[in-house]
Amino acid sequence: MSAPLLEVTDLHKHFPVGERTLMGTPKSWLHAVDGVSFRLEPGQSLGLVGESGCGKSTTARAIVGLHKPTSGSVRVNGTDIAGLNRRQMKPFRRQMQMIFQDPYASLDPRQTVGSILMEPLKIHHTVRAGKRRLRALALLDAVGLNPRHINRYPHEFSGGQRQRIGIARALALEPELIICDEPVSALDVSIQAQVLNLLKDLQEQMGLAYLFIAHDLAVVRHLCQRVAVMYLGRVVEIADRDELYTDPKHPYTRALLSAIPLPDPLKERTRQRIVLEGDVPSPLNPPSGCSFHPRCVERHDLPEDLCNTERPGLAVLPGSGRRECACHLNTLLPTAAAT
Amino acid sequence: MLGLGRRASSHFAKDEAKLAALLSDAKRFKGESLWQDAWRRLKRNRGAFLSLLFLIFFMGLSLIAPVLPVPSPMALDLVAEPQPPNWPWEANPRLAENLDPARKAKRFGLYSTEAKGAFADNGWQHRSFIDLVRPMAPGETEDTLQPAAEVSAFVQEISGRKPIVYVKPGEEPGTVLERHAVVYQSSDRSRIRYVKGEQQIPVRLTQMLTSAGTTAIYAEWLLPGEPPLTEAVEELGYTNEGVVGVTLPEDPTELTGTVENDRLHLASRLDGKLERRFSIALKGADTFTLEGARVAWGDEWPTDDEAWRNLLEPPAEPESAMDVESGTEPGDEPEDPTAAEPEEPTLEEFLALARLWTGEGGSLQLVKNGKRSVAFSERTATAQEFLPEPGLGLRAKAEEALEAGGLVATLASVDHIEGTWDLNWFDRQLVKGRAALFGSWQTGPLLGTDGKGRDLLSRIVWGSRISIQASLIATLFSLIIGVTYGAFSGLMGGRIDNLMMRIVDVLYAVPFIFVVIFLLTMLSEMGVDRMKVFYVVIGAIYWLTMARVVRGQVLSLKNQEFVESAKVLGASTSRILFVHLVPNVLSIVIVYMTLTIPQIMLFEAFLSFLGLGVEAPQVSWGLLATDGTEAISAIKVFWWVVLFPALAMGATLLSLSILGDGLRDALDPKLRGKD
Amino acid sequence: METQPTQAAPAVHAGGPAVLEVNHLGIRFDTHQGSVRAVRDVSFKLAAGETLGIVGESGSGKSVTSLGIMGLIPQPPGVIESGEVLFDEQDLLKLKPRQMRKIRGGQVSMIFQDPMTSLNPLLTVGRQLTEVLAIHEGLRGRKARARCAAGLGEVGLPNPEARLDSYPHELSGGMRQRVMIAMGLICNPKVLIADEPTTALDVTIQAQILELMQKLQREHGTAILLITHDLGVVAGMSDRIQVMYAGRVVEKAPVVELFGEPLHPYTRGLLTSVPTLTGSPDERLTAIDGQPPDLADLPPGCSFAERCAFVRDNCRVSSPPLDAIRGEGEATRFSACFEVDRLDAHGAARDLSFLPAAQTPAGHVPTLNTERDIQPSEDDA
Repeated sequence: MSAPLLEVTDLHKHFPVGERTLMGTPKSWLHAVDGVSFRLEPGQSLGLVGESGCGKSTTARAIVGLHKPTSGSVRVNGTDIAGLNRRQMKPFRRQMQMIFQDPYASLDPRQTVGSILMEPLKIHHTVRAGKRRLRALALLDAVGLNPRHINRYPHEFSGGQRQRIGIARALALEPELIICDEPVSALDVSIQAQVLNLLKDLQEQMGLAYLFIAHDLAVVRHLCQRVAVMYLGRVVEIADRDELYTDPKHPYTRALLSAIPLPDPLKERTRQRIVLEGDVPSPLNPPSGCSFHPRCVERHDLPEDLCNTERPGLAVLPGSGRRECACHLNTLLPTAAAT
Repeated sequence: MLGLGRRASSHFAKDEAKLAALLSDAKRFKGESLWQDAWRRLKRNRGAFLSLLFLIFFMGLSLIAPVLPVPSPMALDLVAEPQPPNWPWEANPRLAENLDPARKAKRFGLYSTEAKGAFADNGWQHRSFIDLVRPMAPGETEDTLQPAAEVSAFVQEISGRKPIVYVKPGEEPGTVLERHAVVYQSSDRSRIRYVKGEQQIPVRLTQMLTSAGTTAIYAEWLLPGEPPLTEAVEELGYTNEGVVGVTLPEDPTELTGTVENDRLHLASRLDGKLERRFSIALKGADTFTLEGARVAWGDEWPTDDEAWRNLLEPPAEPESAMDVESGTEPGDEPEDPTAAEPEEPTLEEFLALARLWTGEGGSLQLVKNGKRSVAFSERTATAQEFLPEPGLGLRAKAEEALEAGGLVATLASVDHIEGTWDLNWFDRQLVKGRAALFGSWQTGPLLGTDGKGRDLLSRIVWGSRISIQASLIATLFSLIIGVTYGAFSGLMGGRIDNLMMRIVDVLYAVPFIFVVIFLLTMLSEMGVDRMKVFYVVIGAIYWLTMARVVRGQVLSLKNQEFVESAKVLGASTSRILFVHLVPNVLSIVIVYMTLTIPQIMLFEAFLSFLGLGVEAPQVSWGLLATDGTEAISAIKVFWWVVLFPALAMGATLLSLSILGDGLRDALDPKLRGKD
Repeated sequence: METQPTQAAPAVHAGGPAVLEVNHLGIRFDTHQGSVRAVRDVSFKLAAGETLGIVGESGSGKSVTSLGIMGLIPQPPGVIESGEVLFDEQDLLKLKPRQMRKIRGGQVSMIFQDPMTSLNPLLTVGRQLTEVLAIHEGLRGRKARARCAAGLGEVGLPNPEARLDSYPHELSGGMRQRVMIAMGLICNPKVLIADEPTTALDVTIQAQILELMQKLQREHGTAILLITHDLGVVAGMSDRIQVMYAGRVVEKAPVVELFGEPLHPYTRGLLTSVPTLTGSPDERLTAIDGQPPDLADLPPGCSFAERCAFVRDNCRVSSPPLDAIRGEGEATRFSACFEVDRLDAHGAARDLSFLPAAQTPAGHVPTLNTERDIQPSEDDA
C-alpha cells in the first residue's frame, strides 16, 4: 500500500467563544473538531457524514487551511501542512482543491465564468497567459457546460450549472484531491443526481480522490468507498461503505441510517425506526464521557456509569482490520454490538 | 518539494484549434454583467432615470458654463436694486442698444456692456482698449457704422491679437470712433508687468478713525478724464477688522492706484502682488458739530497730551511743517479746551482748518463731549498710472505706427482693464468657443439680477460649478480613504479591525463642524487656499461613514464562499481585496456616494453661508443663499433672488436622493435579475 | 391535552367529504421580465385525516400553491388568475382580508420551512402562542396559558410550562419547529399546510418531527397538505401524492402506486435520480438531463418535453392534460403525459428494478399508519 494522499492525525480546532478576559484570552472554547484522524488513499473517496454542528465542515476547512488547526497534523503526500502560512501552503494548493456548498455564494458575482476559471491558472502560472482561456473552455467542456458560455456571469446560470462551474474551478489546477463540502445539498433532486454522476465520472477519468462531506448518508453511499461518521467533533465510526451500511457498529450510525426517510412507501411504513431523543448537545458544553450517551438508546447493555464517565476511543474492531468505532459496546460487549 | 511533480499530460490539453473556434463562437454568447443588469433596471425606474438625466444635464451645463451666452457671474451693474427676471424674448437691458437713454449716453462709459467688449463685464481677462478716430467712409451714415477693416488690421498688427471692435459716431461730425478691445489671455500672464505710466495724479488720503474703532480712508483727487471730472471723494471699502478680508496697509502711502477714465483703482501692494482691487463707492462728506479739536504733527498718533495743540486756538506762530514723511515739531502750545469758538465749522472748514494747522502731515483729534472721537491724519499720495505692460506697449506701438503714417486714423486714448484671470485652460477654450458661437451676444437676466446687478442665471450655473466640484472632490477623497481603510480593516479582522474602528469612533465623537470652522479659519489665515482646505477637511470627515459601510460589507463578504475559494486557490491578500472584495463592495459604495454628495453640497452651502466657504469673487450656492436672505426685506420681496437658487439646489438634491434610492434598488443583490 | 376540547374525530376515511378543495388554481406573478406563471391549473381535494403530499423541485409552484390557499400571495406582483379554494363551503379566494385572518391560523394553519425566522425573536414562545388563541378563540390569561402549555407538551417539548417563558433563540432548531407545530395545531385546525417542515432540520430531528406530525394527525384527524422536495418524507407521510413540475401537476396518485409505478416521465426520473440506501451503490444514478424551464418564458407544449426521454413531436406542440388513468369507479391516478401507454410498457419491460419495493405492489397491504386512502393497484405490471 502506498503512502496515503491525505492523512489527518488527531486534528483539533477550537474556537474562542464569548467575551475575552482582560488579558485577551477567551473565557471558553468551542471544540468544533476534537481529535479527528483518518487517511485517504489516492483515487479513493472518503465520506465524512454527520449532522449540522458535528465539525465536518470545520475539518474540511482546517485541512485546506481556511482555519488554522489548533493541533494535530494534516499530511498531504507525507508533508505536514498544518500550520503552514499562506506562501508555504501555495504549492500544496495544486494538489488539493475544494468544492463549496452554496453554488450561489461560491462564485464571484462580478466575474465572468471565464475569469473565474482562469483565476487559479493565473495564480499558479500553470498555463501560459495566451492559453488560459482555451483551458477554461476545456474545463467547461469537461464538466458538461456549454463552452460557448464562457463570457457569461454566474447569475445567468442555474444552481446545478453553477455547481459545475465550481467543480471546474477546482479541477483547473488538476489536483489529486478534491474536498467536497456538501456539494449537492443545496441542489434539487434531479440536478443533484447530475452533479453526483459528474463527480463520479471525473473521478474515474482523472483518478481524483474525494473527501466528500455530506449530511446525507444516501448521497455518500453513491460516491464513497469509505465513510466516516462524525458526532460532536469526533469521528465515531469509520468503515468501508458496504460494511457501514449493512452492519453499522455505532449506535449513532444506526440511528442515523434509520432516520433517513426512504423513498419507498411500503418499506418506509413498515420498518422499525430508531428515533433519537433530544437534540445534539452544544459543542460548547459537551457531555462527559461518551458525547453521545445522553441520546444513546443502547447503553442499557453497559455498566451504568461507564458511558457517562469514560470516553470511548476510536478503536479498530477486532477481526475487521479497517473498521474503527468509538463505542464501549464494541470493546466491552462485542456480541451486543453485532445485534 | 515532495510529491509536487506534475502529471505529465494535462487532462484538459485538448485540440486547440477546436477550442479556438469555440472561443470565437463564445463572443456571441456574451453574458450580461451585474453592472449591465443594474443599468437596465435603473433605466426602468422612471424617477431615478429622470433624475439621472436631469443631473447629467445640469452637470453638463455647469461644466460648459463659459460657453453659455449668459453674462459673467461677477459682472456688476451698479443699479440700485435687484432687477426682476425678464422673458427670453425681451431685450437684454444690459446691452448697449437697450440701455435707457440716460445710460445710453455713455455708450462706452462705465455701465456700458459694449464699453468693455463682449467679455468686458466678465471680469476674467485683462483687456486693453484702443480708441481710434477715423473719418467716416463714403456712403457710411451714423446708422450703418461698420468697423473699418484696415483699422482692425492695424490693431491686430500692433497687438498681435484679433480685437473685438465697437463703433460709434465720433464727436466731430463725419468721424467714427472705433473702440478695439484687445483681450489678453492667461498665457500673457508672464508678460504682464505693471509699469509706471506717464500720468501722475495727486491723491489726498484722509484717514479717519471713528469712535467705533474702525478706520476709513478717503481719497481725494482730480481726474484728467474725459469729460474732465472735477473732484471725487471715494471711500475705500474696508475696515481694519478684516471682515471683508482686506487688511489696512500699515502705511497708507503704500496704497498705489491706477487711474482709469473715470474710476480709481487702488491696489494694495503689500503682498507684492497687484491682484486685489477695492470696490469704491462714492461718498459725500458729512457735517458734524465740533466741540473741540486738537492737533498734532507727524504720522504717529501722539500719546501724551503734551504733543497736542488745541486747534480752536489760533497758533502762536505759523507752522512750517510740510514734510510728509515725518511730522514736524511736536506741539508746543498747551491745550486750552475752554477757548472753544462758538461757531461750529463744517467738515470742509474743519479740514481746511486742520490743513492750515497741521500742514500736510499731522494728526487731528476731535473732542466731542469731552471725548476723543474722530481723528484725521491727512497726507498726500501720488497716484500713478500703473498700466500693465501690454497696455503701455500698445500705446507706444500705436503712436509709433500712426506717426509712420499710412492710416487715416488718430489715436484717441488707450485704456486698460484688469481681469481676474481665474479661468483655467479648459475654461479659456470654452470662452473662445463662446466668442466663436455667440460673439458678443448674451441673454438678458432671464432669472433676474441680484442686489449688485449680477445675472442670477449665470450665478446659479457658475455656483453649481463650485458646489458640484466641491462635492465631487470631497466625495472622491472620502471614497479613497474610506474604501481603503474600511476594506483593510474588515479584511484583517480581529484586533487590527478593532483598533481601526475605535479610531473611527473617536473621530466620530469629535464635533466636526467646529473642527472644520477652526481649520478653515486657521489655514486660510495661513494663506492656504480655502477651497483646498475645504475639500480635504470634508473628505477627512466623510470617509468615516464610508469606512464603516465598506467594512460592514467586507465583513459579510469575506466569509462568502467565493472569497474562501479564492483563498483555497492560493490568492494573495491584495488579489482578494481588489479582485474580489472591492468590485463587490462597489455597488454599496456607489449608493452611499450618491447620498453623500448632497450632504456635502449642503455643508458647503452652509459654510459659505457662514462666510467660511467660497470667497466673494467666486460664486457658490451657499453664497447665493446668503444673497437671498439679504434680498428679503419688509418693503419689497425680491422673490427671484431667493426662489431660483433654492429651486436649483432643491432640484439637484432631490434628484440625487431619488437617484441614490434608484441605484440602491438597481444594485440590490436580492433584486438581481428580477423584475 | 387535558384542556383540549375533545371534538376531533380521528380517522375520517377517504372518500369522505373534502375539507379543502382546490379547483383550477392559477397564480401568476407580473414582473418586468414578463409574467411568471408560477401555478397553472392546480386542483385537488383534501379529506379530513388525509395527507396529500405535493412534491416538486424548486420553482415547481408547490410553495406558491400553499401560499395561494392561505391568501398570502403578495398582490401585486402576484395575481390569482383563476380557480377557487373551497373550505367550509366558502371560497377562500373571495374572502375579505379580515375574514381570511379569522380562518388563517385557526381552521387552516401553516408550518413554514424555516423555524429560525418564522418565530418572532423578541417575544416569548408563550406570548406568541397565546396570541394565536386570543385571535381565534378569544381565549386569554391563565386559561390560554394552560392550553398553550398543553399544546407544547403535546408536541413533545419537555417542561412545557417553563418553555412558555423562553425566547426562540433559547430553543434549538428542532424545538422551534415543535413550537411552530404546536402553534399550527393549537386551534385544532381542520387543515394543516406544512411547507417543507423538515428541510432545515437534521435527519435525526427530522425523524422526530415526522413521527410527531403523524401522531398528532392520528389524534386530531387533521388533514395535512405536505409540501416537500424530499421523496422519502412524502413516501412515509402521505396517502396521496401529486407531483408538480413548472407550475403544473404532472402526476397524481396514491402513494404506493406512484412509487411502485410512476406514470409520468418526470416522476420516473425523479425517483431514479434519488440516491437511496438500497440498490447497487456503484451504479450511476439515472439523472434527468437539462434544467427546469424558465417560468417567465415557457415553451409551448409540455414543459418537461425538453428533458423527457419519451418526447414526441406532439409534446412540443400541445400541453398534455392531466387525465385519469385506468378509471374503474372513481379514478385515483392521473398523469399529464401523451405517452403514458408507451411509458407503461417501457416501465413494465424494465421490471421497475430501480425500486425493489415496486416488485410487490399489488395485493400487499402494508401496515400503514394512515392506510385508508391507499387503494391497491388494480393491475400488476
